[in-house]
Parts: sequence; C-alpha cells; structure tokens
Amino acid sequence: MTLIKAENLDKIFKIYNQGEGIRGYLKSFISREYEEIHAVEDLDLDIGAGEIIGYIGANGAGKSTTVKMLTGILEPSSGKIEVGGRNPHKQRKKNAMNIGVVFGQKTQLWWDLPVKESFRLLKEIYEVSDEDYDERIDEFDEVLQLSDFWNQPVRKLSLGQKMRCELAASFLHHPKIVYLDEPTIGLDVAVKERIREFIKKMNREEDITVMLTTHDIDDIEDLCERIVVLDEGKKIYDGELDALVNRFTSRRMIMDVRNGEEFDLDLDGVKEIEKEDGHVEIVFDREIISASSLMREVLERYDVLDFQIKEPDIESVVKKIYNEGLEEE
Amino acid sequence: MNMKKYYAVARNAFKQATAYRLDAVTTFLSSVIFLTLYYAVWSAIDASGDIQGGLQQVMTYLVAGQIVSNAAFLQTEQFIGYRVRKGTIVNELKRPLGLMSHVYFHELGWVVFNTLTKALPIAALGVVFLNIPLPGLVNTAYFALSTFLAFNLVFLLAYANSMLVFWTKVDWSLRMTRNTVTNLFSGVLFPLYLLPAGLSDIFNVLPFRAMADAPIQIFTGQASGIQVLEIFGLQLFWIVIMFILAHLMWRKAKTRLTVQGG
Repeated sequence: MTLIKAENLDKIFKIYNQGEGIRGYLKSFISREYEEIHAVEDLDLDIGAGEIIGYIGANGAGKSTTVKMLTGILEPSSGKIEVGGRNPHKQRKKNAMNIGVVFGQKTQLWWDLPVKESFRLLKEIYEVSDEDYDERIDEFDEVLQLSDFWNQPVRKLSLGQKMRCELAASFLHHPKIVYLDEPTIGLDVAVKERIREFIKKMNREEDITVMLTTHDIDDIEDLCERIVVLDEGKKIYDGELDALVNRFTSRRMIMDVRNGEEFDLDLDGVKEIEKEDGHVEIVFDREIISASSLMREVLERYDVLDFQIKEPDIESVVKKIYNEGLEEE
Repeated sequence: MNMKKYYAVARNAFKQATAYRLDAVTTFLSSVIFLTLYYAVWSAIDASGDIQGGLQQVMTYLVAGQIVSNAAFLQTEQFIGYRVRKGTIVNELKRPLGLMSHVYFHELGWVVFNTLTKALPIAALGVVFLNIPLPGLVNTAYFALSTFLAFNLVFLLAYANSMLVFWTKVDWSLRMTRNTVTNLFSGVLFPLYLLPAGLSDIFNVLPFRAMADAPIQIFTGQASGIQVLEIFGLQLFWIVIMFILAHLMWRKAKTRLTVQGG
C-alpha cells in the first residue's frame, strides 16, 4: 500500500546575491540579482507502509528539502505530493498529527526545562491519552533509557541523550510515518546502536514507515532494505541496497604471483588488472565470472603464492556515489 | 481548536520564564529607576509651573504605564528570529499547530510571568512610595481586561514585525525599534493627556495609544462609564487591523521561507 507518493517533484530556491564590499551591498538594495538553485528536480517517490527507506546523497543533494516538502513545511515549486492521501502542505496540521519528524541537530526540546516537560507538551499537542502516554514512556524507557535523565533540564544533556529524547518524541503519538533527518550524526557507537535498535523495534511492532536520511554507512546497512540515492536534486537510484552494492562495486582478487610482471589474463568478466612487483589485483564482475572459476584459470597458468578476495562494501559504494555520482564503472 | 494544546504551550513558556528569574529582577529594577528619575523630573516641572492635573496624576499615569508595559513586554522578534536564523523554525512548523497561535500562547505564558514578577511589584511599589491611588474593584477588572487587550495588540504588532526577520536575519534591532516607537507614542514615556491639540490628533490616529494609554486611562479614572466601552472598542478595532496585518506578513514570510529554503 502506497503511503507516500511524489510525482515530478521540483523545488527551486532563489538565492539572492549580495555583491562584494560596500558598493555591492548598497547595490543589492536596488537591483536584486539572484540565482536559482534546483534543490530537487523531477523526483518521483513511491513508499509503502512499513518500509524503512534510506534516503542518501551528498551534502546539498536535496535530502532535507525533500523531507521538508513531504512534511508540508515547504511547498513544492511544482509536482504533486500525497502523504496518506493528503496534500501535506495544504493540510499541514492534519498531516502533522500522523507523522513524527526529527531534524538532527535542531532540537525541539525546551532548553531550560526538565525533559519530561517537553514530553508533556507533546502529549497535549498530539492528543495522546494519559494511559497511552504512561505506557509509551515506559516502553521507550526500556530501549532508550530515558529515566536516567528524565528530570534533568535539557541544557545539561549530552548530544546522545538529547537525540534519544528527540527520537522518542517523534514516535510518541503512534505516527504512521517518521522522518529522521540525520538522527545519528555526531553520536558514539553505543548510542547509535541503541537508536537503530529502537527504530527497528518501532518499525517491526507498529509497522511505522521510516524515512531516514543519513551519512552513516552502518545506519543504512543495518536498517534499510531499500534506498533512494539523490544526486544534485535528482534521483539516481531507487531499489534494494544489495543490488546497488553489486552493481557498483566489482570484486577484487588480490594475489602474489611468481613472475607477476608477465601476468596477463584475457577472460570475460575481467575488467582490469593492476600489477606491481609481483603483486596483482584483478577487478572482476561476479555476474560474468565467479571467483572460483577465475581462480581456477589463474592457477592453471601462474604460480600463485598468496591470494585474497575483497568483497564490495557499502562504504565504498556510498563514498563513490558522494564523490562522483552514480556512473557505472 | 483544542485549547488544551495551547494551554500546554503557555504553561511550558511560563515554566521556562521562571528559569530567567534574574531577568525579572533586573527589569523590575529598571522600572524602579525609571520611575525615580521621572519623579525627579516631573517634580521639577511641577515646581516651576502648573501641570495639568498636578504631579500626583502624572505619577499615577506613569506608574500605570509601567504596569501595563511590563505586563505586555514581549520579545517575539527574538523568539522567531532565533528560530529562523538557526533553522529550528521547522520544529514549530512540523507540529499540528498554527505558527501564530503557537507563538501567541507562548507569549501569553510570558505575560503571566511578567505580571506576577514585574507588573504587580511595581503596583505595590507605587502604592507604598508614591501614594498611587488604586482603582476600585470594577475599574480594576476593566483595567485588567484592557491590559489584556493591549497585550493582544502588542503581540500582533510584534508578530508582524518579527516576520521581517525572514528578510533582515536580525531580530534585536527590530524589537528595539518597535519598543522605542511604541513607548514614544503609547503613553509609556509621558502622559498623552498633556499633549497639545494638534499633536494629540496625530497620536490619536496611530495604533500605539491603544497599547498603553487606553488601560492607563481606566486605571487613573480619566475614563469612566461609556468612555470605558469606547476604549475597549478602540482597542478591538486596532486588534482587527493588526490581526490582518500580522496575517499578511506571515503569508508573505511563508513564501520567503519557501523560495529561499528553511
């Protein structure tokens, strides 16, 4: 069942140029020159209930802008969005009752008040009953251990503690969708793991759809089956994580070979051979030639002293995407 | 409209305000200094000639002005400006609340705090040290209502003004400008009844009078009977106008948010 649907979504920002120096500054009062930035371009999304979607891309790729449009905060320049059958911008408040949002590093907690006061306010805002609220907080406490700092003013909390609160806050009212914009940024490994465990639990037990933007490889690997990759506002990949990894990283066979300088291999599926002082690296495509048959071929011809196979990892895929977009090798 | 939601916002704002108790003390002290200074100045003027209504009436007017302006002292520009600059305004916009009502109830929480920690102590001070006569029970109620209307007006002006933050990115100077202009034209700085006729006409067509002079007149007893109703009418009139202005400003600011990014 489709829960979030976006068609031909476009978002153009105007960035006003302020000239250099005093002259430029004064000039900017009279003539308003601006550039148009295409933050999101012709984006289609179709996200079903209960999915965890990893929404990835380099800084400035348009991830946050998309989230702001899906949550109804920003109006698209053109295109159509439906979230649970509603236009989230036109019916922002109604839509807001059914969603939870965490904007990483932009805390919604009341700085000088104990944590619990921020939650009590959310309870009223999202019309959560007393009973449900107590149950919910107990449940969250088990995974996120909120009671450690429940009565402390927010300003005294660590970054990790604040993020645990933010996360709990976004799930408090049993939303259908939770948008998490960089929820693990700057956190230590233990907190990250706890947060992931929590997201998984919520998704599994309540079928809450989660859209996660992140730069954290482990977040993606641990949580997302499906990912959407954005590059300069355009969607460049939408599908299973595994397929992406297989598609964009070839495996490597690394060997030490006697008389390695003369090494040569002309086989289908072998893409590249790098040689250096008897050290040979073969880049090959697993879809065409398996590692075992490649090894067999090599062993028939050469004297191999040592070898290892390097598996593709998401990290290199993601790095590659961030650095150079999604061009095939 | 589910009032519980908004009550919760006001309650949290009040609790937050109590974290800044020291701020309340300093504001109160600045009011004391203001009144002491003005007492000296107006005594001198009184000694050198006739003031219409006498010194006592001037001081009653000024004390009432301090009560009103302290109760309705708002820093809406900072509230919104901080959020716009840091981008955390998205947190207000992601919630099932309207931004204007959200901010309104937040400020209402502050007004309750201001009234308890600043306005009421000033009233007590005025009674004890300056022999300010308090209005009767009915007039006190009218005064409270009129002060509440004044707060609404100050809020709407401050809200409209704070929408400029979307363009200027600075908030402090916006609030200072609004504060100075309001103080000057509203009666907080000097009694408006002392103005000569020509000047008085100018003050009459401006909205600021309804932000302080209106409740002050009820406090001092200058307005009574049907005049009190007229004062309420004037205040409501300006509230409607300011409400429309604030709404237009917010709509304009929203497009700004949307064309320039959060």
